[in-house]
Amino acid sequence: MDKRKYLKIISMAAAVLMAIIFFAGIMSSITLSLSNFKVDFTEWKRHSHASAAQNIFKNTEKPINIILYASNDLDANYPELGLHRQNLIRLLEKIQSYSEGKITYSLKNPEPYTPAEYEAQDLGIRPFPDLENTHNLYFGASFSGGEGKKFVIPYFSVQRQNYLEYDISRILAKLNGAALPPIGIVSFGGDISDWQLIKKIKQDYPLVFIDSKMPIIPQNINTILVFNPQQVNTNFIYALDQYIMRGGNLILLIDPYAEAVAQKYPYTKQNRNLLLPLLQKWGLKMDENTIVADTNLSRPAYQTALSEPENPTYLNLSAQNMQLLPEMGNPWPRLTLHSGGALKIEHPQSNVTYTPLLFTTDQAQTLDADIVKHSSVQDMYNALSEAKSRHNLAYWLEGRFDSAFEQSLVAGTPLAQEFPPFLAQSIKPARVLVIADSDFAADNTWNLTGYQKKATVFDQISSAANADFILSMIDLMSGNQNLADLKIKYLINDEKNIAEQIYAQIFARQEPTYRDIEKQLKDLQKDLNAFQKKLNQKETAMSLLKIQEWDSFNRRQQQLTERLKALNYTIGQESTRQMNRIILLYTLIFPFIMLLSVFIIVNICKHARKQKNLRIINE
Amino acid sequence: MTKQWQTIFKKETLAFFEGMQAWVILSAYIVLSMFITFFIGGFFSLNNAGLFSYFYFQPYILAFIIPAVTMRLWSEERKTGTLEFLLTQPIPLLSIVLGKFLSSWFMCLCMFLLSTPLWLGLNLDFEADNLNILSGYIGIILVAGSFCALGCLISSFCSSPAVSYLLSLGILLFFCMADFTSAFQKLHFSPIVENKLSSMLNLEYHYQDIITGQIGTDNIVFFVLIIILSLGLNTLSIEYKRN
Repeated sequence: MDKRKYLKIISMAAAVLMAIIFFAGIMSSITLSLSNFKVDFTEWKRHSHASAAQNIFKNTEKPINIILYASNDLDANYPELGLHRQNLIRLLEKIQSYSEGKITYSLKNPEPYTPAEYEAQDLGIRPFPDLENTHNLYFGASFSGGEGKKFVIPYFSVQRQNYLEYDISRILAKLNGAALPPIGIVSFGGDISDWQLIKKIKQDYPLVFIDSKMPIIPQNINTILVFNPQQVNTNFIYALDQYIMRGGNLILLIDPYAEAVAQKYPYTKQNRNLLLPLLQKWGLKMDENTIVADTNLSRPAYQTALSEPENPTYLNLSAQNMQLLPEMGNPWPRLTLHSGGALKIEHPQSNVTYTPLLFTTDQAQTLDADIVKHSSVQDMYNALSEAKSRHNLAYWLEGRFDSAFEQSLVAGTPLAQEFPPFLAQSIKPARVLVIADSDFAADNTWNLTGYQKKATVFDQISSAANADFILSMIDLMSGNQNLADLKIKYLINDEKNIAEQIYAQIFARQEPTYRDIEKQLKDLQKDLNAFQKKLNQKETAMSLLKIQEWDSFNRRQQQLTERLKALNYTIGQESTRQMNRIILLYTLIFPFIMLLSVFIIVNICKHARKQKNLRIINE
Repeated sequence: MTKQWQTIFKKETLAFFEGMQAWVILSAYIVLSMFITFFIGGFFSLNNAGLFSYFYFQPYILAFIIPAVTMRLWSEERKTGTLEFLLTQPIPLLSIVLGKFLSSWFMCLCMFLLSTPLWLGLNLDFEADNLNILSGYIGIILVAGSFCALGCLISSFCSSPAVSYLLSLGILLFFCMADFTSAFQKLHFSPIVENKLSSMLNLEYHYQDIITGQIGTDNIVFFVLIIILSLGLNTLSIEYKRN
C-alpha cells in the first residue's frame, strides 16, 4: 500500500477514535451532572414519590447504608428485571440526594464464586437461575443502620414494583428509629401465625400472641388485634374492657360469617359472638344474622375469572367507599370484603366520636347469613332484601369510653390485690377500629400468591390493600404517623392487558344470555337432584314415563351445557376476530388511507404548480 | 440564514416526495412497526396503556429505516456531481447541513404520524395513559433526530448511497446495542461509577427512561448532544471537502 494512503487511513482512524472519545466524554460528563432532574410523564404519577416517603428520606438522622446486589447480566436474561433494576437505581439515587448523603447506596455484582456472591448468600439474598441454568443471578438489597440493625429484601419481584417505594421507605423509617411497640394478637379462628398479614406486621413490630383466657392484657402492648371473637371468655371481655379504659388501642375484626374459618374447619359450628354486648355498650351494633350485599361493588369469587358470576357479598371498595380521617392520608386503591356485616351506631357514648371509615353505596341490600353460608350465588341474588340503603362496614371510635362492667371481676376475692384497680371510665382517650369482616385479614381475600410457607412479605402480590390498611392503622395507633401515610398508588393486578379488555367487552355484550343459560342449567340441576332424591326415596316408582322424564332432563342439561360451551367459543372467536380487525385496521387500512390522502394532496399541489408554471410560460 | 436552510429543507423534502422513495419508506416503516408491535411486542398480551409494545422496538426499526432516508442526502450529491455546485452557492454550510438534516427528521415525523391512529384507537376502546404515550413519542422523535444526524454524517463520508446505507445501518445498530459495562469493568471503577458511566452512554437506558414516562434532562441532553455533535462533524467534513 502507498505510504501516503496508509498514513491517511491511520490519521482517519485516529480522528474517528478521538471523535468517539470526545463524544463519550462530553456526553457522560454533562448527563451525569444532570441525572437527578426528572419529570413524571405519566397520568397516574407512577414515578412521583409520596410526600410521606419524601419526609422519611429527608428526615433521616442516622447514617444508613444500602447495598444493592444485582447481577450485571440481569437484563440479558430477564429484560423486565433489567428495567426494574433501572427504576430501583433511580429511586436509590433520589433517596441519596433527598437525605443529603445520610443514606448512601452501593452496588455489588455477585458474580459466581466471588466474595460478593458469598456475601449475598450469607445475607439471605435469594439466588435464581439464569436462562441457561448455568449460574445464579441475584437481585436483592441489604439495608444497615447504626446499632447493628439490618434488614434484607431477598428479591425485588417485578410483580411487586408498585410496592418499591413503600417497602424501602418502611425499612428506612425503621432504621431511622421509628417507635416499634409490641402488638398483641388474639385469634379465635385457630392458628393464624402463618397468615401473610401477621408476617407483614411481624416484619415491622414485635408480636405477642395473647391467650384469650387471660383476664388482663399487659399495658405495654400498644395495639391489640382481635380476630373473629367466638366463645369469648368473660375474663377476656373484662380484660379488653379495662385495656380500653386504660387508653389502649384495639383493632377488632368481627364477622357474621367467617369464611376463612369455615374453610379451615368445615364441620365446626360457628358460635355466637360474645364480644357484641361489649361493643353495644360502646355504642356500636352489628346484627350477627345479616350480611351486606351490594351489586354495584360485587366481584366474582375468583377475580380473574370473567365468566364467574359476581358474588353480591364479595365487595371491592374503592376511594368512593372510604372516608378516612385526615391523619390517615389518601385513600387506598382497593379494599376487599368477603360477606361482611353492617355496623350501626346505637346509644352512642357522649365522650366518644364515631367515624364510619368504610361503607357501601346507597344501593346496598342485605341477606340472611344462613343463605350465604349454604346457598349458591344465584340463590343469594334471589334472596336479596327489597330495602336498599348505605351500610357501614368499618368504624373508627375515639375518646373516653364507659366500662361495660360495674365492678371488678375479682372484687371481694383475694385476687383483687393482684389486679390493677377497676376503672369505670377511660382515664386516657382510647381508639378502637371495628371492621365487620374477619375475612378482611385472611390471605385469600387480598393476597394473590395465597399461602406459601417460605414466602416473605416481599413476595406478596396484593389484589387489594387490606393488609396495608391494617398495618397503616397499627402505625397510626403506634404514633408512627409518617408510616401511616405511606400508600401504594396502584395495584398491579388492576392492569388488564388489551386481550383481556377485548374479551371483557365482548363478554359484557353476551353476559345476559350467558347468565340466563347458567341460571337455566342450575335450575335444571336442582330439578334433577329433586327427581333423583324422590327416586332414591322410592316416593315414585320407576316407569317408562319416569325414564322418559329422566332422559328429557339429561338431554336438556346436555343441550344447555352445549349452548354454554358454544357461547364461550363464540366469545373467544369474536375476541380473536376483533384482534385481527385491530391489526388490519392499524397496520394497513388507516396508514394507507393517510398515505393515499397525502399522495393525492401532493399530486394536486404538483399539478397546480405545473399549471401555474405553464401559465407563466404562456404569458 | 433562516430562509436559506428553509430553501434547502423544501428542496430536499420535495425531492423525497417527488419520486417513489418517500412512499416506499413510509409504507415499509408502518408495516414493519405494526407487525412488530402486534406480533413481537405482545400488543395484546401486555398492559399497553403507554403503548409500550409500539415504542420498545422503535430504535431497532429506525436503525433500518433511517439510513434509507439519509443515504442519498450527501452521497447522491457527490455521485451526481451536484455537491460542487451546491457548495459554490452563496449559502452558509451550516444552513445546508441543517436543511438536509431537518428534511430527513421531518420525514421521520411523517412516519410517526402514520402510527397516531393506534394512539387514538387505544383511547377510544381501551385504557390509555396519554401523557406516557406523549412521552414515548418524544422519545422516538429524539431517537430519530439523533439517528438522522448520524445518518447525515455518515452519508457525507460516502460517495455511494448503498455504502452509506450499509455503513449507517451497522453504526446505528451498534449504537442501539452498545453496552459498555464490560469495558468499564476492565477499568476497575467502583460498581456505582461503572453502572453510571455505562448507563449514561447507553441509548437503551435513556430511551427506556423516556418511554416509561420519566423524562430527565440527562436523557434529553444525551440525544441533543448526539444531534449537535453529529451535525458539527458533518459541517466540518463538508467544509474539509470544500477546501
